[in-house]
Amino acid sequence: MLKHDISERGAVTLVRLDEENLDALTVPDARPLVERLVERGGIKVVLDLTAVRIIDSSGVAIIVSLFKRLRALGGALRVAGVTGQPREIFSMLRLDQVLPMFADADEALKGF
Amino acid sequence: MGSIVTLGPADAGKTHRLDTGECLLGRRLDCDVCIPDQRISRRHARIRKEGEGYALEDLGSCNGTFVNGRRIQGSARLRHGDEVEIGASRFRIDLSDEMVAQAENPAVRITQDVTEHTLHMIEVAHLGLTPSLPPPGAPKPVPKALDAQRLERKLQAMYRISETVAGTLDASALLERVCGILLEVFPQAVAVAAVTVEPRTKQLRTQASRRRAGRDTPAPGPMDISQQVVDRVLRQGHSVLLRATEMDHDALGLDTPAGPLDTLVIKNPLPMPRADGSLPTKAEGAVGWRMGAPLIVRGEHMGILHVDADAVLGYFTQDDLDLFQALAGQAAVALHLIGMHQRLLARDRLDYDLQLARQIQRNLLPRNPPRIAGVDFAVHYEPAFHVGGDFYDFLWLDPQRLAMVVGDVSGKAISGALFMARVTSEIRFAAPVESHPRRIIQRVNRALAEVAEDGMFVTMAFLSLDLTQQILRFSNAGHTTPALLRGGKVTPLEYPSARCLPVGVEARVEVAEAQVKLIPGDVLVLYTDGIIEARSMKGEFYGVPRLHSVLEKCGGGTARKVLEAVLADVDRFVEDAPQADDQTVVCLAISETSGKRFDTMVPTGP
Repeated sequence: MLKHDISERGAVTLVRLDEENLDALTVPDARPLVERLVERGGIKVVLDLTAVRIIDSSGVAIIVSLFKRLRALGGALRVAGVTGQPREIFSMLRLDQVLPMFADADEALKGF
Repeated sequence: MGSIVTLGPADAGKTHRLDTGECLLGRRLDCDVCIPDQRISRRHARIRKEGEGYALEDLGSCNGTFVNGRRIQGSARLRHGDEVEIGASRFRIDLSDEMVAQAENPAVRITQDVTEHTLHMIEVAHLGLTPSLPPPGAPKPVPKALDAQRLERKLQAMYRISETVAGTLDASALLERVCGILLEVFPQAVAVAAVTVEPRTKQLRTQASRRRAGRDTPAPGPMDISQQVVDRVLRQGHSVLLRATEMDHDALGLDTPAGPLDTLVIKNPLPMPRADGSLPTKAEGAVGWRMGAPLIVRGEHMGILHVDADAVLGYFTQDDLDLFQALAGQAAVALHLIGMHQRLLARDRLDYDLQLARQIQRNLLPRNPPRIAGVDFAVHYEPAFHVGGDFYDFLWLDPQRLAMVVGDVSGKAISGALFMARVTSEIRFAAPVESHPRRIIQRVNRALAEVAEDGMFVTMAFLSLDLTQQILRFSNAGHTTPALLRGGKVTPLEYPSARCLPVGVEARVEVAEAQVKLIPGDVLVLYTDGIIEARSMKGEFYGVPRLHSVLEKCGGGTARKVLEAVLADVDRFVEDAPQADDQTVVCLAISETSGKRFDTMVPTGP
């Protein structure tokens, strides 16, 4: 599984990815993590991407997948710490239109 | 064959094999598994062979017999890993080394008829040397003069085998021929068989068997290969030479080998010739002489070769075993190569499938750009793998308006290609109905948002060009920004409200259209992220700024010239770094103030 760290912050699950590249090579390792998160039903998740330096379309796809599935189950996803190349990709894709983005995990947890 | 392993409290780890058909558990000393515990009945329970497996039967004990914590009534079938409890003692049933699979070929039968006690064997460790120590009691020492003859026979056999294996690429055919050669090499042999192990299921499968013709033996029934031989040869990788009899095993003390593994251990005397010099017959209990050798290469156990000697006429010597093992070694290497060859063939087939997929995919994309007076096109499409997730298309919205789309599907390889096929067909379906880039994007999105599984999405830049007025309208669903090269300067075709989420993420997208009037000399460059995310050897991205600067350096010209300039610069940048993503570039150059569709227009009728 992808290197990560999960902690419970009240009603919100904070997932910190500890992986520099979220691309076609590492995404297969991220799938079990997504499955685990959605298995728990309608939960609120903050995905902290501070460590992620490079993301490609497979990486975006896994985040979109998590977003769509959480929402379908009555949950919600926020992302935090998206900078550099991932930030460019996210804005080129206009993902900020649907995916609330925050400077860091603390910001994302506020009022979630 | 299975075994019952004691877990405790006493004798933990002690293992009793369930070979002999019946295993008695109880307090009595003559029980197979004797447990000195007052809570256990004298004859408490019994494990019996039942069909392919084993059954545990409670023999009317006072305190009962438990399997996996449940008391059994009468008898219960045992499975691998079952935990048996009687009194305070616990046992585990181990059937993991079951290799009892019946050979498919009825000519060979794997039997349990020979018990461990009746196997008297000369063991030669697989890799160990094979001292040419004559077995004690050998009928007569081989005279020196015969040495050369023996050597010649060996060499000839080795030559025959290597000749045979060189020309065969089919495992069964190879082993058939090996069996034939074995019958020639060992005149005392009456039957040979080759059994292979199915790597996945561990099932044994008879690949070939031969029986010597013309002997006045009774009608040949199935050839028996004893389970013990199979086990020993397969699991330990040893060749074995053995004589199985039923009459003399009591007379033989079976010593545990004291020396290191690669010493020759002789556990049995040779069959004693009778007064007239003949050997005991089968009727007198001699099952006969057998040799088994592993087909093993680099630790991979592929199977076993097995030879039976004539019960009356023949026996095997250490020499025969040496030769047999050497021949088996040759056959094993050949078998290994055949396996490798077949794996290569399978890979070729997969490659062929991918080639086919690539062709099909190419057919989904336009073969040639449209021919328009006053506008020229150039296209580069290069999947990183056999099939790609990039696509482009040209569609006529009406006789004056040409739509162009360049896009990228999020998945790679097969999943990406399948999704791409879906996307391009949705676009072709939507384009004539909606006729505006933004409406086409919305319609395709509605169709795909429902079916896009697991976060799959597609980015696309959708443009339409009005040929009479040279007006370009565009909407962009999360795709890279098209570049407009005019007078040596690049203008990114970017307009905030004309950009939206990739297609397939949300069921509803709002997007506007932006427009720009083109003039002669303009070159429009559409591309996918495989270009700007191409990486150098150092891992740097090619990036939009470098793309813009190469376009400005090039200045303009025909679509082909601009395209070549971009590709050459990308090549320079990446050097020998592997291409990680599909790369697509579509260039369009305006040479006249108004364009006109060149090619055939279908007459619309009177």
